[in-house]
Amino acid sequence: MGTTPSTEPTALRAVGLRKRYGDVHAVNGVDLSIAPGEVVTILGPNGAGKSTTVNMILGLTRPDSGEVAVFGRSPAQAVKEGRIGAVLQEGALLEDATVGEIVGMVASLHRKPLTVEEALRRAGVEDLRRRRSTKLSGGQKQRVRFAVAMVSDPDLLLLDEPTAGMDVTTRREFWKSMRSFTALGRTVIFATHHLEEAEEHADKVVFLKKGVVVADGSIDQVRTLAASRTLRAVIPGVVRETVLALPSVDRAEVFGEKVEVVSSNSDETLRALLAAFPEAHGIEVAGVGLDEVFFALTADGSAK
Amino acid sequence: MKSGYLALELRRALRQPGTLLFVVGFPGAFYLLETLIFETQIPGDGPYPAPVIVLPAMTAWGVLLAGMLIGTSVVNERAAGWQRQLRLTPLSGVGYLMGKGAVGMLVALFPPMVVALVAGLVRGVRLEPGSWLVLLLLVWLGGLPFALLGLLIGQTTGKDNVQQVTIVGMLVLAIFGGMFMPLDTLPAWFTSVGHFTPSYWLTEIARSAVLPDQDVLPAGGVLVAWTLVLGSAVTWRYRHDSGRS
Repeated sequence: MGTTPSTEPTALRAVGLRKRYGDVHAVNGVDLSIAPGEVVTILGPNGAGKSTTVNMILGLTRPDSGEVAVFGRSPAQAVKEGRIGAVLQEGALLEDATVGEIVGMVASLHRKPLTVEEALRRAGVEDLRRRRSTKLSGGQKQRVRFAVAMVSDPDLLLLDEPTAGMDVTTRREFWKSMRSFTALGRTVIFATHHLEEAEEHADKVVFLKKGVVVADGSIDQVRTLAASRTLRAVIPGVVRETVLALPSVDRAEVFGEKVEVVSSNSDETLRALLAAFPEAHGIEVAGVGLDEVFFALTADGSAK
Repeated sequence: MKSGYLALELRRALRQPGTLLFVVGFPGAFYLLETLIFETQIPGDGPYPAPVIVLPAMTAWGVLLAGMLIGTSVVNERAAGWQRQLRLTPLSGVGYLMGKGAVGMLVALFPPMVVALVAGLVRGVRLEPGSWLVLLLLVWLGGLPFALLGLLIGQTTGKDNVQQVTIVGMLVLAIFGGMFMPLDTLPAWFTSVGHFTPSYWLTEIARSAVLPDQDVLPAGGVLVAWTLVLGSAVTWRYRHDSGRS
């Protein structure tokens, strides 16, 4: 956990957050400390407790135990002051209202809102002002919700899987809007299960798995992990130890003749593999999934 | 601060012409139909002609309808996640509920007016000008427990059953409240059960404005009690709801 000067309160400090639903520990002891101006991603597979964590930060879900402070205040107080904005996973828009009306109404509830024009412009949807929300595409809806989240001119923005359901173009547009927000020195926390989004847009990554923070690291760590590749091949008579000894191999599994290797430098590994096993065939190289990254992280952690 | 919220709520209510026409027009049309039926069924039976007897019942039905339909919009907004979005604004949950209730009460002003217009202009009902006003005012104020009931339905039902609960609730309340059929034309146990419903007293308070031999106080007292009970239920449910999540 980083420390911040006492003169400047942390944007977010969460201590010992826990929440269970029945027998399931959705969040099981999460600590977070995020400084103002940081862009942090909460990365984790589905069911890792990302949404529950986000909801507890926002005060929408009451933790069973633990505390949340947003700029030194309770979430409820921070919401009241308009310092938190959020794009929720199922946050909806009113079906029988226009984009301008929805954003304008939310603006009217806040003390020091942006103008509707400004909020729409920042979210890149100024041309949709008169459009009924039922007439929006999925990507447009998401950006209108971004405008709703930004109209209070918040200092902390929480985005829960913000690009879910967006195509590549709208995804790019969305992150462009988000960047102009972070350029103002605002704090952003976003939850995602896309490694690439974390790699491209965050300064810092919190890895969450089964309701627990398994790693809390810099973006370089993710870059290295994201550069890993999974290499598969069929090698008759293969021995696991030989494969493990190949250069840049982090992990190797052997199922009969089938070999699966996670490598931090697949070019190097592949060359060595072909040299050592000329009879290898059926070779595939693929980017690693989140599961492999998590495996690597947790394996790392236990080895050290 | 909440005027923007109220303004949009109102505009959205006006944007549903189907629902609005149903709420505002249906009791008036029903009034016309009922007076025609009762005129032929029970000619010259009681001391008052059918158009006078049916008038208070149908004004009451109008405010009941407007109030209880609030629940549907509350349920829809919860199901769509809009309530969660609003919880990220300074609008409090109580403010949200009050806004919903206020718009429902505003809509509830109109159906009794339409019934009164049909009664006066089409069926030739003559009352003192003051009595018309007292009728509309009393029946409208008496609609408050039904707006609260609508909110309670909105808080306790889901998208799959809100329609059934609302419709069955409306019909049961209307029947035992003597809104569709005068209770003295039905077996006595209908009246006995009716005493336990707020709708019976809503019809009664409306009758007190139209018929000279009716006292306003008992009905007024019971409706105030219902308002307090349902108001507490809505508040309790709200606290319970936000505490649980």
